[in-house]
Amino acid sequence: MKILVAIARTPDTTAPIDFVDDGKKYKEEGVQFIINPYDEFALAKAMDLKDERQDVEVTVISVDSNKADQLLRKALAIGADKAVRIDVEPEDAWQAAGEIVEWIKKSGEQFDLIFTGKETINYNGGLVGGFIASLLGYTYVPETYKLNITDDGKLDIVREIEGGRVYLKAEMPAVITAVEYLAEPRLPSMRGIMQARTKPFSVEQPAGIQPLTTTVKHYLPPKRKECKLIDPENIEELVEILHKEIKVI
Amino acid sequence: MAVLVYTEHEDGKVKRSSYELTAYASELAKQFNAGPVVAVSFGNIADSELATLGKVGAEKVINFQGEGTDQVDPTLFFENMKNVLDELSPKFVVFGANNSGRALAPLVSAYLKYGLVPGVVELPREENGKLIFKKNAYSGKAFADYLVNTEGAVIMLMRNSFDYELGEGNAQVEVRQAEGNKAYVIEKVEKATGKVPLTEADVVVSGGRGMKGPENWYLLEELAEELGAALACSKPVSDMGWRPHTEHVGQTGLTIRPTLYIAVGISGAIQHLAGVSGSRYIVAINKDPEAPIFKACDYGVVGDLFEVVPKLTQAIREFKKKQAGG
Ligand SMILES: Cc1cc2nc3c(=O)[nH]c(=O)nc-3n(C[C@H](O)[C@H](O)[C@H](O)COP(=O)(O)OP(=O)(O)OC[C@H]3O[C@@H](n4cnc5c(N)ncnc54)[C@H](O)[C@@H]3O)c2cc1C
Ligand SMILES: Nc1ncnc2c1ncn2[C@@H]1O[C@H](COP(=O)(O)O)[C@@H](O)[C@H]1O
Repeated sequence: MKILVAIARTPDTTAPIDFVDDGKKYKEEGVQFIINPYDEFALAKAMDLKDERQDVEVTVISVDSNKADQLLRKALAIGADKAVRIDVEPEDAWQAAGEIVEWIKKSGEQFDLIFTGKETINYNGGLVGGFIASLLGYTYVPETYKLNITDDGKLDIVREIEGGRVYLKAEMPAVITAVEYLAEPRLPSMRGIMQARTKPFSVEQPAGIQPLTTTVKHYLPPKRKECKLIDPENIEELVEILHKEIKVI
Repeated sequence: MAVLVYTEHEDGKVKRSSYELTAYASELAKQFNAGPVVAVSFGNIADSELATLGKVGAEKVINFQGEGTDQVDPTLFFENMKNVLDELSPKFVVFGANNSGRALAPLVSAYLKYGLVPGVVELPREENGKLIFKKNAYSGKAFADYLVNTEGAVIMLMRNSFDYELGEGNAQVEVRQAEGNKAYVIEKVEKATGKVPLTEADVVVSGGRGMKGPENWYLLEELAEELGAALACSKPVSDMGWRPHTEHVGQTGLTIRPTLYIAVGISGAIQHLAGVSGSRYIVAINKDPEAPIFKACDYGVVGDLFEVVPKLTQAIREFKKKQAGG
């Protein structure tokens, strides 16, 4: 069974958010980059499946400049078998997905499962998985909370939806997007780090997919006005505000 | 030409967020002279209820019914929407920035080859013949302007970003049988327990680790009852199993944008704020005046929640009684 995990590079969750080039680009100086947190869950799930079954091969892929090398190496150290990097920093999810699909077609690989994260924490799209599924004609299972493969090769899935969960069965090949709790993220072991050095890592030229959207600029939200403190002994003041200003009672 | 909008309903009623989406679609149609607004809806619901989408400018609603239409199935829903896309050639297709939007919008965008902008918070502006949309980015910590390079656009609108009013009018309703393949076999659907769905709620009362334990949640339930609010919680609260994971808001949980968010015993970590910073008003109750939540809220009460919350609930109750009494 072949599994592909798509990995995006995002700023550390606590990194300050600031922009350069008239807001065009994120200010990367001094910022630590991480594997997008949801992609960590996806990768961990792929590792769990590898542990459960004998026949699993896991490839990790990132559409990015060499800034992603270190993260792909980490994924190899965690236990992925192969890494692929497509050498372009994509403008949007369409370009990222398109490049991944072109590489799949060119390489002739047949993936049974493709994992992505639910969304990236910087672009907040949640689109790459849907685009890949659409372009390859795979079953699309967004926001997957639990996943098992049954003996007859079906996917046994729990999906998160607003205000609840859906239990379902689906067929492979499928694109799965991971939410938190899909699996427990893993840390690389010393042995894994050593082994990663000899695992296949290929850098590919982009196919030249054009983005459908481009970023004009970023900006920071207006600051909230200073918090007004209310004396707990005079809670009626807050009730007045709820009524007059916020108008919820 | 047309503007297509994907709408949803629950318990026989069109969702509030769907009126917002349709109103947004109508404004787009007007602004860009893009033709009539047509809503697409799936699952069993009364024609008369769907017709109310006319109050926010829908001219027509196409309702797909039949097996498999009660829960979003990307394959089945998309195959049926595809026919509508072919018939109408819309310039814009509008979805909510929620899980049904994420399930369907990428498929529509890939089919039409229209740029897709997720997390839109405003109407677009036009510059040199190109559309620019303002969107949410960095999990609520920034905004970005996205330029769409294609003729039309697929939009996923953030909830509570567009003010609208219900006017007059009835949409014409056309019922069709859904046909086609399905992606899944659905075995069971589990609904969260709250009376008001969290992502639809206008007011949200949320508890953190300061609540000390699940046995104290009745304090928040009583406050929520008075306000007609939904309940939410911080991540550690759901990790410890005090509350269901479906109530967890923040970077790894739900993103909500209610009119009022009341944070009780929540420190206000940046990952928590990522899920709630779009709220119009934030009120915090916390005993630590240094808690970061006081840097992110509009009104704050520094005090012991076990005293402040019951007092607030009581004061609201009395206020409402006084109002009702004249
Ligand atoms: C990658 C990542 C993702 C994360 N995602 C999320 C997320 O999605 N959502 C989320 O919420 N967190 C998330 N977190 C965790 C986040 O960093 C915080 O740890 C968490 O939000 C803290 O929860 P809390 O405010 O309930 O608890 P605490 O930080 O422990 O705060 C409890 C607060 O209660 C107050 N308090 C205590 N007793 C009382 C009392 N009697 N009266 C009044 N106030 C009292 C205290 O002063 C304190 O401010 C994430 C972390 C990481 C690293
Ligand atoms: N540049 C990229 N390279 C590889 N995978 C990506 C890239 N961007 C996004 N992804 C994957 O797609 C998911 C959703 O991303 P997005 O649509 O950008 O929010 C991420 O969690 C990743 O799994």
